[in-house]
Amino acid sequence: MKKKQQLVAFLMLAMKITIAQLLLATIFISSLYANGAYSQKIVEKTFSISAENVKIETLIKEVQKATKVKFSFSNSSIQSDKIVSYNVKNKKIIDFINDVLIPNGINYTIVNNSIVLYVEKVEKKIVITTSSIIDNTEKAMPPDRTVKGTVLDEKGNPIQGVTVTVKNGTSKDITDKNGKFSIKVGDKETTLVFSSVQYTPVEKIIGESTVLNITLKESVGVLSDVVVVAFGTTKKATLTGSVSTISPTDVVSSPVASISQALIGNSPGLSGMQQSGEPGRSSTNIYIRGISTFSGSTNPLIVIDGVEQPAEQSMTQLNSMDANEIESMTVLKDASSTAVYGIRAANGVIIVTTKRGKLGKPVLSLSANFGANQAANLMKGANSYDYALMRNEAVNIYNNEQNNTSWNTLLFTPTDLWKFQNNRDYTPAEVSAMTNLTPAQQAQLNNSPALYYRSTDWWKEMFGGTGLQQQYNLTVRGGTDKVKYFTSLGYFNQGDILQGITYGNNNKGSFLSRANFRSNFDIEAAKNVTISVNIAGQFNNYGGPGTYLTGTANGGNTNPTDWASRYKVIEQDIFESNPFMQPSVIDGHIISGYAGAAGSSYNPLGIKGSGQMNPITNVLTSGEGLIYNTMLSGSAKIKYTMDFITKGLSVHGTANYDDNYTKYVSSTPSIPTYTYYRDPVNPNNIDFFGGAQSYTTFATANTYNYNTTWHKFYLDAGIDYARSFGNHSITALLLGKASQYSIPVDNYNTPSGIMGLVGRITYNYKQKYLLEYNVGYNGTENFAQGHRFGFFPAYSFGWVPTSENFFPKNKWVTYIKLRASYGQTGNDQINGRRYLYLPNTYNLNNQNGYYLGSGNGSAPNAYVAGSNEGANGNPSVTWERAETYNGGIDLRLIKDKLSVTADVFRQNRNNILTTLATISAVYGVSGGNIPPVNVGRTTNHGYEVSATWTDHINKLGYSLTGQVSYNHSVILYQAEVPNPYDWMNRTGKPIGQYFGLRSDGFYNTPQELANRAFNSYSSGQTVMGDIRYKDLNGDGIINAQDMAPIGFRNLPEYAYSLRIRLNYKGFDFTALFNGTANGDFYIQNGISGVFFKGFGTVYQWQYDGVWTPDKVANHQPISYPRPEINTTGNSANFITSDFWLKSNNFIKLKNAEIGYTFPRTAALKKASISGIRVYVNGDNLLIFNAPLTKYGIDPETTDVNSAYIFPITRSFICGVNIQF
Amino acid sequence: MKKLMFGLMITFILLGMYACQKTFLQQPNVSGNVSISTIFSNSLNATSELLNAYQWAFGQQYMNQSNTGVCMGGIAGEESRGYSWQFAYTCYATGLNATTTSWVNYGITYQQVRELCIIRENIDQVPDMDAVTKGYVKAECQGMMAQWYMLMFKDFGGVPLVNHSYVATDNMNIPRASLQQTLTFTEKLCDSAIAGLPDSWPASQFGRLTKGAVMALKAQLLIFAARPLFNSSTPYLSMSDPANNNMICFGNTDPKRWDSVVTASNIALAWCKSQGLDVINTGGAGVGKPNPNALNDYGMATSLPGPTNTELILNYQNQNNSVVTSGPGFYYDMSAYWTASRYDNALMGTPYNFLKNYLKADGTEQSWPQLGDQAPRPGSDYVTRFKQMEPRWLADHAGPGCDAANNPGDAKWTAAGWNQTMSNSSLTAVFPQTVAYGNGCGTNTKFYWHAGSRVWPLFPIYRVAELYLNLAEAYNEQGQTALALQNLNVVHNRAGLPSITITDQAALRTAIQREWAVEFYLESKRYFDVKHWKLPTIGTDILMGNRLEFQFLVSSTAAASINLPSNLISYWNAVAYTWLWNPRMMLEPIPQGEVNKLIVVQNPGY
Repeated sequence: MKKKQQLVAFLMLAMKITIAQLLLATIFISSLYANGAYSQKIVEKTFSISAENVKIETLIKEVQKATKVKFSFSNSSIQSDKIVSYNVKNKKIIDFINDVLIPNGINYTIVNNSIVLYVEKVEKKIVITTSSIIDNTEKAMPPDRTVKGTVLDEKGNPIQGVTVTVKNGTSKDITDKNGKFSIKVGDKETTLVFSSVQYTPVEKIIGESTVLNITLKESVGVLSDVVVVAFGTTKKATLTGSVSTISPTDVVSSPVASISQALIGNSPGLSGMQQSGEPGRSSTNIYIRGISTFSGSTNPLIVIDGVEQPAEQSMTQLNSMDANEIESMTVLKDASSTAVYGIRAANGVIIVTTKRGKLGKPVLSLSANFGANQAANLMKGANSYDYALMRNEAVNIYNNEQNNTSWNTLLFTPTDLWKFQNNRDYTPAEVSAMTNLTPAQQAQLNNSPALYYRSTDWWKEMFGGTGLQQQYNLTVRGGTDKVKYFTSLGYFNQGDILQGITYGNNNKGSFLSRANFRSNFDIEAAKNVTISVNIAGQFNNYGGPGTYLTGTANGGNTNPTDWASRYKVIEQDIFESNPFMQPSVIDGHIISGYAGAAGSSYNPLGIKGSGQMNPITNVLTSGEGLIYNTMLSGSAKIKYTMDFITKGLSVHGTANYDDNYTKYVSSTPSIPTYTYYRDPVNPNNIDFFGGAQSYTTFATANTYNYNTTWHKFYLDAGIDYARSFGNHSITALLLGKASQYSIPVDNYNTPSGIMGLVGRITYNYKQKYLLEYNVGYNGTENFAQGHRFGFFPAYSFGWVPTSENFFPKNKWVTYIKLRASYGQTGNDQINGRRYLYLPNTYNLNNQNGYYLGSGNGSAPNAYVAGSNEGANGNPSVTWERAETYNGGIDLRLIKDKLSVTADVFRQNRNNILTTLATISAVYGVSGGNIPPVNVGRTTNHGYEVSATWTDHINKLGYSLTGQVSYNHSVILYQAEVPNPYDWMNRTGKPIGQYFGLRSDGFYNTPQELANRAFNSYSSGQTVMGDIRYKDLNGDGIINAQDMAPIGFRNLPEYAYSLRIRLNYKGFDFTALFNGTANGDFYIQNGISGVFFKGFGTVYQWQYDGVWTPDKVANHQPISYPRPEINTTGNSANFITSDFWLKSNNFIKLKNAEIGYTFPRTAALKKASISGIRVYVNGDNLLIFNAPLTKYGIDPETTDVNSAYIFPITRSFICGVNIQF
Repeated sequence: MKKLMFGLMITFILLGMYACQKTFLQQPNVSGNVSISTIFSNSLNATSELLNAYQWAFGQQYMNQSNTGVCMGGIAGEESRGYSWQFAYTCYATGLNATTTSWVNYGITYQQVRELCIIRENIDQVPDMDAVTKGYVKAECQGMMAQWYMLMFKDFGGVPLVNHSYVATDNMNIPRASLQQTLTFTEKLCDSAIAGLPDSWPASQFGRLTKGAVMALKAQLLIFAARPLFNSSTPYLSMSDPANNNMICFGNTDPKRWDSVVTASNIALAWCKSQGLDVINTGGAGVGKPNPNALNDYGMATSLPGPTNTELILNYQNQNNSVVTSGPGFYYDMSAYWTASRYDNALMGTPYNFLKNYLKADGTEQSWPQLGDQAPRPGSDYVTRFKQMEPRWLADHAGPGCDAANNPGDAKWTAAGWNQTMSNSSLTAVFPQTVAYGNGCGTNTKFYWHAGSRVWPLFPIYRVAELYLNLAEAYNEQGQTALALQNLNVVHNRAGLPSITITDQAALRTAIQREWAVEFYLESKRYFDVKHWKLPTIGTDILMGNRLEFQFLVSSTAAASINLPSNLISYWNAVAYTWLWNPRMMLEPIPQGEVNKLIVVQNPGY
């Protein structure tokens, strides 16, 4: 029945067709089912023609004559009388079509060796329809209908320029600016293919529909077709290096302040440790494939929109970027992908590409989210009663074991203990002795909580708060043929988790407030000329307690921009505090101490440690520092397509200028502080004293460190060539580049420059055999002339066996690509030192001198300052060189549902700058002045595996991506003097290996103690309950010769993650689990010790685990040595040892998000809203299997900040994205 | 045309690269950098380099500049051990081992040798220095190198011999030389220096090396070659490879080594007399009689800088008046006791082990409390006996209840004016317990005779008394008792004591050694002397073993009164602490890190 209707339709159509068209149909009917693909080649035919002011019809005929290719058309169907001119040489037919016919509304299709021309309007099309009348058979069911529809992106915006083609057919259309298309199709089995460069292609069987609305997904991430690589893009299919991409949606969804924080877990081979949880200082140290050098920089190179970031500021711009600006991130890991960056490539490269305009009407996208942070882990202090018991025990050990009575003043009496236990300042007996009080007053006092015998957990008191954060972003994206534009405005604000830090109008909390803008334009300035302009700004405003001046007074904080250091002051207060210290605020009075004399009844615990500086009072009175930071970045890129010389040729040039300015100001408001005691007459009342207040002081730091200005200038110019010849495709690139980083306070007063050449040649045959050669040739002024430029080649090849004819087509293994690469890269950031090649330096008139003269001592003789030799130079100093071998495999399995990428690598790093420890002392040059030489060698090997499973269960779509990466590095040579015992040698051990004593339980019995080895670190002083160490060399002395490798390095060797994505109707859900293994955290003395200075803090885990004879007798677990007072590194228990090395293994639910996209209801359309999505997201949500959390430390915290850890936070946000 | 365009573009890029090199790859402006040519571009700069070398060469004698530490007395048994972070304390607490401590810093020594070689090799380039001065500078460099090598000779034995500055690519695998080679090498350096140096310098240059200083140096070098530690057929311990024993022992006992000491000392003494230098003895008592001006004469000889001190051949001229930076006042600040700011030297009293060496003023032995006494003695006994002591004790010490005699009339130097505790004392001290350590049996005040407010100490490197004791020791070993006694008594009588008349060689040897101890208290001699004499009680009394210090029961601990005689109730002798001797300590260890380089071998036992 259907067929009959179709037939009628055809007949009706046929009535409209002229005789000429019928004739035309007969011409190509014989070839209708011939091989279509083959016939595409006819449009590649070239011809030359010279025609002035002729009718199009005439011109077509001339072309037909010149090319011997048949053009079929009907005069009536085209505006054949239009007058045109066309003078060309060696032009292709397709160019003729594109240049002349299509602008005049004439479209084409190819039928075997004929080109059939028709006009756009459907009813006038002359194609195929005619044939159906003639070919009346069933199997040659003609395209009898038109399918129309709209192509939208994921956010519901129409996409212009999507090619819609019939699979295995000839019809095609391109979507207009409203995303509309219309295409003639055959039967219901016809498959339409929707493809566009930026999107993942979609195939759709049309079935019965005549209207198709298609949504395309942006093609970035694992499934993308096009990957951004060094100085360009490449198809994923032809990639031979080890490259992974990070989905920007994963980065955007992470509610963190710094991009670097969001990368962890999202790319195999990329790992890191977080510095701090403080707003504005929460960035993560990123490593690609671990650490391969023991002396040079370990930072990867960051490239933003093709512009290399200065090595001195590698993460500055990236960490302040708004994630909404980012289109894609690519991690380049092996030498073939990084070699073009030459001497800055050895640690890997991260390429960040920002979003650009798209053809189409402007799309406004607004996102906003709000959330809260809290500490993910907090150290927990012991309560006053436990504290008092433990300190008494510690004092008693000194008395009994060492005859040391010097701590006896710290002993708590039984009454003290009762008061701690009952949170009272007076025992009932003491109260009843106060006969001046009425019974009511006595009862009140008996029920009055302690003011002296208090118990406060200072970590919780300070860091137990909730910080708020908010983020807004507005982007506009659109474009015409001439100008495409993308503009983003962003604002981010994050508060901290400190609490109790507000007084009056002063909030001393840390905050980060950041505004971002970015405008990217692509302008078709002239024919073949594209100018791209990027302008971006980052405006950071950090603030926090503690001024530069205060910091100095409190212990060596000399740099207010170094917030980690500034926070040490505050945390030091906590380490030195105890739970019964005076509170920070009583009745609105900020308390600085007790009014009563220490030891008196008004300050009963004064000599026992109650009067330390209260951390919160210190924060409140320490003033506030503000850092204003502005970073402006501007780039212009011009690209000139030179197809007129030869097809596929273009030249381009880029100029970039970044400018960064930082200003520090501080203010110290005068805040009244008080001392207090309980009223001597009626202790129910509290008397306050003090409260003096003066004026606020302001300071701006003029010292260079605190008003830094750095700027960077970058230039490049290059030639690109990309062309296919049948099955052969080649690309080539030659590019010169130069950049200069300047900071006015450089010791040498010279900017840091780098320049070089980049070359690349790639070849592939049918995307089956792939070859690539990359080379970087570049140099820096850090090395002597003649040693400056280095040549860094890399070779790689790939093979796709599944494309071979012999490979059986099957649904289980659909794609295999094998990859291998070898290459060399460099690292010019050697130990942060510059110009080591300069000749030996001397210190003139600034060394210890002498007093010559004949004075008799009544006054010194005249002083003559001394001079001596300084650092020696090494004229041949040069960069580190890395040789990287990489093997990889890409697989798609089980109907493409499972894709796997695996890489193994080995990097041998040599030329590492090292001071020759082996050089004899007779050289007479002190260690620090011996010229470093490039002799260090390391090796680093490992693997990365990433697997993604994508499928759906009915309407529930899901994907799972699992990643594992591993690396292990070993120092092969570092010119180390061979130690008497191998375990003492750094050589042969992993980079970053900890060395220390190996613990062996505790001294539990007097016999064990009597038979102990002499501990040279504690002058032999050891008592029961101290840690026992292994005497590795058996000489009866615990000393440096027993320091051996302990545990793993801080950065774990294994990192793994699992990303889950689900979508069901409008709901989407994603979760990221990550974890690490084979890493350790060293618990520094500041955390591990107790009773610092006699009064300092005790943690709950220390109290719970402390060694006691009872626990030994009862075989209870013991995890802390016997208590001692004022622990330092000289104490037997706190020498660097594996006892304090704790695994930082963990599994986390790192991030989870659930969102809902509203359907496009009429109401939304009326409001011109094309999409609304709401979501909630949690970051750093749950942690499992993490031993370090016992100590209140998040296992992703780096341990390089000593004992000063600003807790890493957990955050929850909810947000909305609206598109107009 | 196409190819041309293509070629042009590539050429453009390459040319651009080349042309822009100067813009992008800059070099620092090194014209202002100080290089070796700057140092030797004028006399002032070169002298500045030389004076830095002086500061090191003679400072090392006096205080260990590379360790947090103080005067050498702590490790020589002349003072208490100091604080736990100080050199003497750590040195012996850890048993003088190769990974942590030794007095002579091997690395710094060679750094100074290098500096001296650089100066000697480059001084000829200095345009504005006359040839005569250049000759002097070269000789000074040789003299200071000899000083360093003598120090290493005494401390390590044979060492690698370096006579020029190396560049990094040179072969620096220089093994240790034998003792004889090191001696010969150092003697030659002395001889060259003596030949090249002047007899005296203009007043403005006073303090620089003279012929006589190096002559005294050579005499000292030779006496260490002659003393029994090296001048022996067998080493104190065998090297792990006995073939290397020649690095720590001459392999024979040769009496001629004493002859050369006599010769060298007599040459030096003759030079001294020709320059008007001699032991200061103003009392006019004549030969063989106690000098009535002993306290002042000895005090002047050991404290007065400049040419007025006619006993001084060379001294360490670091006259930094600061007590809070790094000058000698910082490490050895005796004068500042009366200020409250003395820093690191509070626990440096003289232990009883050393006090025993002093006689009473009448030349007889003092009777001090002994370990094992039945009862403590009254505090007044201490004051009485203190004041009975010989002038050198009084010149060099103050004590609880006892004013410093070397600055009479100056309230700051009285027990009452002293701002620090002078005794190991307590209100509750119980006989015979140990109350504390560090303050010894007296507080040293040496080098500050009539110092007034001078913070820095004069530190003698060579003074004439040394030459007389060299001769006394050498003549006694040669069996020339009369000559030995004659030279010994020059020093002994000057100190206000009656002549020594012992004729037994061994007894006289002991007397001479005792004279060395007392006369050169804190002058950085004893640490090496007692080892090279191989004294039998070195490990039980002199350097190690029980360290004895007086303990005081006092009636007040108030700062102003604790040192007053009226507040001293009783005192007794007690073991302050004990240090263990190891025979390997006769010589110091080469740093383990250096031995690990497999170029030099370690001294035995380490």
